Amino acid sequence: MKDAWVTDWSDPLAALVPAVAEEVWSRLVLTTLAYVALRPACDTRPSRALWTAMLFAAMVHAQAHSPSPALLGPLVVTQTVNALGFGLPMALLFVKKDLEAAVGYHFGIGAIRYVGSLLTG
Amino acid sequence: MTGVATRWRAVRRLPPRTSLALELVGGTLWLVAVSGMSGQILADPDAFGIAGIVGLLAGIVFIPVLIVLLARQPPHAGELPEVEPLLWPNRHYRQVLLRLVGWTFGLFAVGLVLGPWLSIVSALTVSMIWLTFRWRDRARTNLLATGVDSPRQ
Repeated sequence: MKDAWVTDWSDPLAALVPAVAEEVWSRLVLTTLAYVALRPACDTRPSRALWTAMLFAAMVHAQAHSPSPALLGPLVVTQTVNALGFGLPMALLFVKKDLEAAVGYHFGIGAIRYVGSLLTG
Repeated sequence: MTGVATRWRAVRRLPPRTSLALELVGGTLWLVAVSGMSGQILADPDAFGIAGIVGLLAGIVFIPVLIVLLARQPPHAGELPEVEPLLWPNRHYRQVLLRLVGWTFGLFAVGLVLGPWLSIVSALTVSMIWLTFRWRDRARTNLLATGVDSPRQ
């Protein structure tokens, strides 16, 4: 995937904007809200609330990146893979480390993509 | 309960449940993935060569290994704070999950009409106002000034 707008060495730094914005709404807010909602309902199995909250927010995050508004259909498979492959590690970083670690991971993915576009012209 | 929404229990923080072998596997996969991808970009960005394939495969395998490594790090689920029922108390797991999914579908429907960012910002605003109202008894001077709550005296 090439991003034609990436022409200057400083352009990959633009990856910081979605990294911060998306981690705040999907991890800091959505994962936390889902955990707050689910935790009291999982008194004996707290891990179920935690994993459900992380997967739920990751799925919503993946859907927000979908090129189509379709919530159901073949795209669901792609979104699920994206959620598990990209969203779940970031959710785990948020839970196990902190928000900054998740933002850093997210920034890394975006920056590598943009640096690749810059180098390949 | 005294209005305090979360209770940190005095639990002993358990050590990571990872092994050195698993960490070495993760580190090696990361190194191979980065080297392969970098080599591919530097050598010939337009033709997907052996370095790119090796890097891609290592990257794909690295993700589940990373997930396992992170999942075995503390804090484990049982060490996280207990949460006072705030949303939909006395509901079962499936009922809460169905409501969450229902609200999310509704949010996306609003987003399709009004635009995704307006939908997200509206939902966050409503959530924050509602949480502030529900936890109004926690709004003490220290919290308002520093943004950090302190234990109830």
